[in-house]
Amino acid sequence: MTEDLNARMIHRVVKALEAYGADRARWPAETRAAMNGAADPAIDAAIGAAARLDAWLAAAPDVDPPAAAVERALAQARLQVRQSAGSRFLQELSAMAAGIAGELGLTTAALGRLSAAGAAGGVALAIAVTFIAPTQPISATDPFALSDFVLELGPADGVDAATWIEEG
Amino acid sequence: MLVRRHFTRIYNLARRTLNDAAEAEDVAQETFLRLWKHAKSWRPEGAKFETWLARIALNLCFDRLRKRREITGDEMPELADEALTAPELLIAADRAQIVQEAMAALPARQRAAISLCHYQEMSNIDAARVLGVSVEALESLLSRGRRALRAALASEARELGLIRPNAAGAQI
Repeated sequence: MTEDLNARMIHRVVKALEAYGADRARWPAETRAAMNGAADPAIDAAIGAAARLDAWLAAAPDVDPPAAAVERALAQARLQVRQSAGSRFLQELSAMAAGIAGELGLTTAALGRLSAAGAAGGVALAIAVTFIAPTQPISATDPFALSDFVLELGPADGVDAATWIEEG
Repeated sequence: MLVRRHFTRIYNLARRTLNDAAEAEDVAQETFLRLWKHAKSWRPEGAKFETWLARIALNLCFDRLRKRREITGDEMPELADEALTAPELLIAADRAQIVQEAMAALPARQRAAISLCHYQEMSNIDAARVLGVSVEALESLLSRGRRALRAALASEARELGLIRPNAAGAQI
């Protein structure tokens, strides 16, 4: 390896340490690879400094939000789902849900996951389907991110959606 | 529980960005309401759901920070008002308090970058997306933020007698 190439590699590794800390899992992949062949006192010093700062940052971990705040947020979100479920737009969408699901190429597993919503009148399924890009197969990327929210905030298994909306 | 897990992540992102527990609660709640309002604009091929959610939350945080500046007519205070530091009640350790205060003194975008990459464990690409900047710009925010933190924490540690005078660079 030429001296110039080595210097560039060392610079890249030190830069990653300064930006992302000592945990290599957080580094860009190409810098991780560079680190394997790098050895220099500047890197050792940067590793030490980064690790000490990481340890300080770890001393202030995430905290749980107040339970009441979570409950308030859930109540608000449920209210909004109810209101959305009752809207004419989503009622129309509900009727179209089966067709849309077919076009999206729902997998058997996906249909299984959404079956609770389907049993609850198709409303929650319709909402879930709304959130998935029409041109994207539902199983392609992060398929349940939003539909899981719908299942969690929507009617419980076996509860009729219309009743759920009216009682809201 | 899915909502609770996401709520906790968003709450902590907002708490670190705003350094205010009550405002963090408001932002987390508003984020979930916006989730429904803007759900149709989410495209799985465009951004991960968590990235998208974090972006909503950070935009709300930055709006609040801008309003704070308008109200005070000045730059952000270096440390949070004592009356507004409810999160500290939840974080008992002195070191946690020191880190939190040092984070609060950072410029908002540096603070958000560190929060996303270090605490939310987002990839550099996702964190850059959330902040609406290039990966290079994110790295610059992170480097400047971490350098400032190192300096601030070295000073705090020296005051607490955790390190010898004039040896800050070797300790932090």
